[in-house]
Amino acid sequence: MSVRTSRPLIRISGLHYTYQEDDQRPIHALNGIDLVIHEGEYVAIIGANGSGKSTLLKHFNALLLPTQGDVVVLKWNTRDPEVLRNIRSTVGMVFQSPDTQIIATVVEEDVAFGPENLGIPEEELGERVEQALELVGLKHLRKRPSHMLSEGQKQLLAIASALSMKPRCLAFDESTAMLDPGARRRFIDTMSRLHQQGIAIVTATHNMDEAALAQRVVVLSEGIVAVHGPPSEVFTQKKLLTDLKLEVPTSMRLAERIGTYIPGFPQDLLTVPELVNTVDSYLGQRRSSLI
Amino acid sequence: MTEPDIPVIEVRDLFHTYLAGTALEVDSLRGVHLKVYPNEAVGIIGPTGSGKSTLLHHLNGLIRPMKGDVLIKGTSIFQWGEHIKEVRMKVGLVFQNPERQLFEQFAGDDVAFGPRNMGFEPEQVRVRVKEAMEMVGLPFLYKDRLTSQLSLGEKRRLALAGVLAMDPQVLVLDEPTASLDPSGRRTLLSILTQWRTLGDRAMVIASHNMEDIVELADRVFVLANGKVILSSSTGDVFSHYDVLIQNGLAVPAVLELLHGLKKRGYPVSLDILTAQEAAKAIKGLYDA
Repeated sequence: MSVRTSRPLIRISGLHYTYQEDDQRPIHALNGIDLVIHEGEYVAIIGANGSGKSTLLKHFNALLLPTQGDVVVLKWNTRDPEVLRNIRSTVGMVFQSPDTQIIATVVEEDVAFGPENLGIPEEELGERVEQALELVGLKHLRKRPSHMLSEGQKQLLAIASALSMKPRCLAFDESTAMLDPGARRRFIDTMSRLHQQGIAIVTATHNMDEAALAQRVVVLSEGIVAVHGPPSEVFTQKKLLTDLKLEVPTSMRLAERIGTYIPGFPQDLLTVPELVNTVDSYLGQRRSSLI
Repeated sequence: MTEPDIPVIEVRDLFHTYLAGTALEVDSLRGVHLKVYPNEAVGIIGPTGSGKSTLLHHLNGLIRPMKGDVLIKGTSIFQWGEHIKEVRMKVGLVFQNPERQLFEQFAGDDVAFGPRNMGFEPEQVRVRVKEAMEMVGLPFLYKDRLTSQLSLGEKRRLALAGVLAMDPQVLVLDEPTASLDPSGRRTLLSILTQWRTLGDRAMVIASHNMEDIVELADRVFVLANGKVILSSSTGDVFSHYDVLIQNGLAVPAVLELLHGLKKRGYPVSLDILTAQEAAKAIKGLYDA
């Protein structure tokens, strides 16, 4: 399942960021973040509103530059304007509202826009567009005007357009927040398919069920990393989560309730299918022992 | 339900087409019927593009019916005429991401906008603002805060206070918890539940979050392609697993669990909505 290697892809050290608008109080959004995103890793970033998730993500591909500290993508420091292109084609970004990042009027033109600007030769360009549309499942809509797509389809288009840059990492900022449950399921499937292909996935989300699917969960609080680790470690720290205005995935809430009736019932069940399996094996055991 | 009163809102055979008469015309609503009675909370679920928001925007006359009718307290929206403003006060509409529509520099003034427009004296406005802010858990002192300096959760609640300050009988909410963190979401849900206890209040909530619907709604309407394909009590609607999944929707986690067990041959009933009842049912199977 894991294609994670220990090779660092994005190295963040001592990152501080302060929003300073004229006549306004400065807002210290990030207050010293040290974090490494590895090649091929699947990371979820969670934290209360205002904890710094979006600000952090925007540093991944130099949409924001550190007030203090450094962000290095492969060997490129985001402060170096000479390597901006390399950075942007290594780390792609997908936001909550796809309308803010769809540029072209036709689906396939939007997907071609990025690599075309890089001067990719026409033949390869065609291949890249083809592959990207295939991966997100939008091939049948390639000639469709982009404003005539559904919300979910627009979100997939935003991914395809990021993918055509052949990134090694895709960062998603609350990308599923406005999707209906079906579109959300397809979106999550797409993310895990991309992960299988070796692309590192970093997703900032308020949905704990979604975060539980990642290999590693990073919890932000007031601009610092409060804790990070595999979901099974992070989500068992219930007190900490509550203090940070977060909660456990729904499956764990259900497991907890079941545990009050069936002592010893496992609590670290991160998804509903896992929960179903565990209940099944408990009931199965019980049945056979009675026969 | 006991003998129902007159519905506070009744939608009759409602049609709406965007860009009608052009090559791009899209049928958004295609014959929707819906009744909302006093004291009940109605959930509306449906995939993106099913017509939820369009329907909600009809409920206080923001969009006028192209065909069909919307009755507020038994009176057609067309007959309210110049009193349509009254409808807007009776039926408070909270849009998606309402915090984006805050426009006053100071928080209190934003809440006061509605009551001021209703012609209340300054002292009455002040009372209404105070009550509304306290109802959404914002201390009255926050009235002097800069709107721009509030957190997302606070802004969302401030926008809600602005609607509550008009003392609506029906509160219509479009995706009220989207983009909120888990604790912000919990706070908002409990504010809404609390508001209903004021009495003679009805609520209409559209949401993609099935857990929100379970928590808030007594009845649920399922929209697909501009039509109501299913409407019943919340428990009954969520027992239609296949219909919901096929239409791009979901069931709450409790039912996903029970449905998974049922598929494996366990005799569980699918009309359970709370974790507590589900746990009891599983304990029952365990002891059997």
